[in-house]
Amino acid sequence: MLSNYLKLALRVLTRRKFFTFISLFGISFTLAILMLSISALETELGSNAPLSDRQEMVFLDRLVQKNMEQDTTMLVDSSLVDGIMKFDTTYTHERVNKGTSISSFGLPFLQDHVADLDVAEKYSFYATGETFNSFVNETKVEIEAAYTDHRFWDLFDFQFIEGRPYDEQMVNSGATVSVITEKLAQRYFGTTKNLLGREVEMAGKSFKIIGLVPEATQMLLQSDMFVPSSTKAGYPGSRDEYYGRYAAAFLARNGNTDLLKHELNKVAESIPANSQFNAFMLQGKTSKELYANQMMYSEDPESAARWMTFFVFALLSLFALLPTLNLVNLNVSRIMDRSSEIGVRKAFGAQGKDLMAQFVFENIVLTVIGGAIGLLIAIGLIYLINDARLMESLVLQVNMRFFLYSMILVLFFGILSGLLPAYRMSRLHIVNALKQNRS
Amino acid sequence: MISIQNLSKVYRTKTIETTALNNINLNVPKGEFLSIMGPSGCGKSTLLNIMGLLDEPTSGKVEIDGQSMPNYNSKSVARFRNKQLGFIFQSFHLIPDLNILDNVELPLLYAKVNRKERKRLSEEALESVGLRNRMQHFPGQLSGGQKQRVAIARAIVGKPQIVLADEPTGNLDSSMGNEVMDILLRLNQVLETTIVMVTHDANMAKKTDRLIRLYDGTQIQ
Ligand SMILES: Nc1ncnc2c1ncn2[C@@H]1O[C@H](COP(=O)(O)OP(=O)(O)OP(=O)(O)O)[C@@H](O)[C@H]1O
Ligand SMILES: [Mg+2]
Repeated sequence: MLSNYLKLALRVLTRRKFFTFISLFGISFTLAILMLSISALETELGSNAPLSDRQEMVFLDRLVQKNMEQDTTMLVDSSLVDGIMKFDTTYTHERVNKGTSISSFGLPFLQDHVADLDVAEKYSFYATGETFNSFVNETKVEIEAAYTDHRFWDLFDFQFIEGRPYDEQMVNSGATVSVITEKLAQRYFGTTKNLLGREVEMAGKSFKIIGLVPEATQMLLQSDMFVPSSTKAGYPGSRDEYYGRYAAAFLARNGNTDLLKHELNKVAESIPANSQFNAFMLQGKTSKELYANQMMYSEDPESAARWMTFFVFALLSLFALLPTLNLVNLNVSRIMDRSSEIGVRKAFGAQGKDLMAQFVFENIVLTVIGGAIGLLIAIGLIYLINDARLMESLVLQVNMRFFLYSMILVLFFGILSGLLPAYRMSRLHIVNALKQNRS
Repeated sequence: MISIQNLSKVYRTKTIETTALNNINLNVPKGEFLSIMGPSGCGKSTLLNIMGLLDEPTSGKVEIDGQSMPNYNSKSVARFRNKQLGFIFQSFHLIPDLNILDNVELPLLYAKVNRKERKRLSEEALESVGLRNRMQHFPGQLSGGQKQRVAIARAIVGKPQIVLADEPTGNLDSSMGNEVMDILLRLNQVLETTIVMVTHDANMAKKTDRLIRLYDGTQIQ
């Protein structure tokens, strides 16, 4: 049966070249764009090195500090009782927020409060986002630095091209060593070869290169140069001021991120007051929530993540909707052209479901061909985008998951756009179907 | 074989009501070759479609082989058509995207006959209409008479008890029409297939066992 349908489908498609061309054009471009989006999402949000364990990680990027004060309000109620004015006075005692500060963390604070959580298997404290200008042969080279502990290299699985990371002893002794990305090497030295042992000037210090890594594709870890946190000016920072430039990342034991978030909340309750603030919040976020939070700030990162997911899907669906409707429309007219065939098949014993299966299958054949072309277009575009570095260091991935998602997408598209026309046609009345355009 | 009692068919549109068939009573015994004649629009096709369970009567009863069909959209009616009925249309209605062999196979596909058996039966049916050598051709490559012979092969491939033909020679010149008619007569004599044929051609009708005439939805003879 299926091979009959396949034979017929291919015959129909080759006979109606114009229709096939128009359909394939629409399908392949739509799918190519959707595949490109999948690749971008997969690159940013997929579990790829150096964030292979991201699903099991919790990130702590912001400290919310509040100054809660006891406030007493007096409320006087007056009423007329038996012609005499009566006064009722009530006092309400409330804790009111007199000021909020949101910032990243000081390193001592992190070390004091979240360094040994029960449910964290690994952790790291690091400061990213600081940029320095260095001069090489009188041209300016901008370097985005990351100050990290030695645990950083255990938590994030950077794939070293050459050399190795710095260890605990180097961090403790304030060794001026560095791990740099290929991208920086290219800009700074004009080459990525034989760089171990050479030095990079940054922030008035000279750092010896001990490791070379490819640049991370995820925004979260996109620094040019990684150095021990002990080399940072003002290290380690004041104990009393809780804020600073650091963030923390944890690997939850058994991947139980909820438990870890819960423990962070607990820890927050026992943080002692400092000179300005007396109430604190430690909101752990999964990597998805972290992204969502960067796009739209919300007190509740979990709902922000849900909204982001919703928006992404809504946007992609909207984009796919128009071509789908178009295909549905084309399909309806294509199928109605074949009403004589439908009438004959029914007269000779086809049931509605047989015809549905036939026409949905035909549509799937069409979309699979379109999908294959779309995939080629998408891979071509990805290659061009990566090559031209169109999106500042966003290197799009083409991996198994990308193929899998794309295949699901194609099937979904094929079934969806074939179902309605197939249904309409399977309901045609035999006698009417046979009367229309005779062949 | 086919028994029709008090059959009426009324087409209702918003503006007009057409009585296509008016109180028809008819019995077609097993093995009979019956022809139906009458002027255009008198209800011949409508009657044939209702006999073939392709259309529902407005009132009255149709019994085939002692069985009456309750619901025209049901699975059992589709299966009954598949096993017991074969159709031949004036305009052939071959599927242009399928080759001759695949066109003839069609009823067997829905009867869930396996591939080898389908091929054997279809070749046999094509052999009996003299077109075995055209198996791999497509309908567009055949003459009208050849197309109608393919359509006959398709109608008889499942060895149905009844064949219903609506002006099978209507689109053919007289020599091709005679060829088709000879095949139908042979089918009726050799396999004792019951045949009901609508025709405009009195010479064709003369060759059949019995002729009835319709006029304005009523049987007049
Ligand atoms: N779907 C329909 N809706 C409304 N009226 C219809 C419909 N089908 C047929 N009729 C009417 O019913 C009557 C009988 O039609 P039918 O097709 O059975 O005639 P016929 O005898 O086969 O004619 P011909 O010899 O031209 O094929 C005609 O008046 C026709 O206009
Ligand atoms: Mg007619």
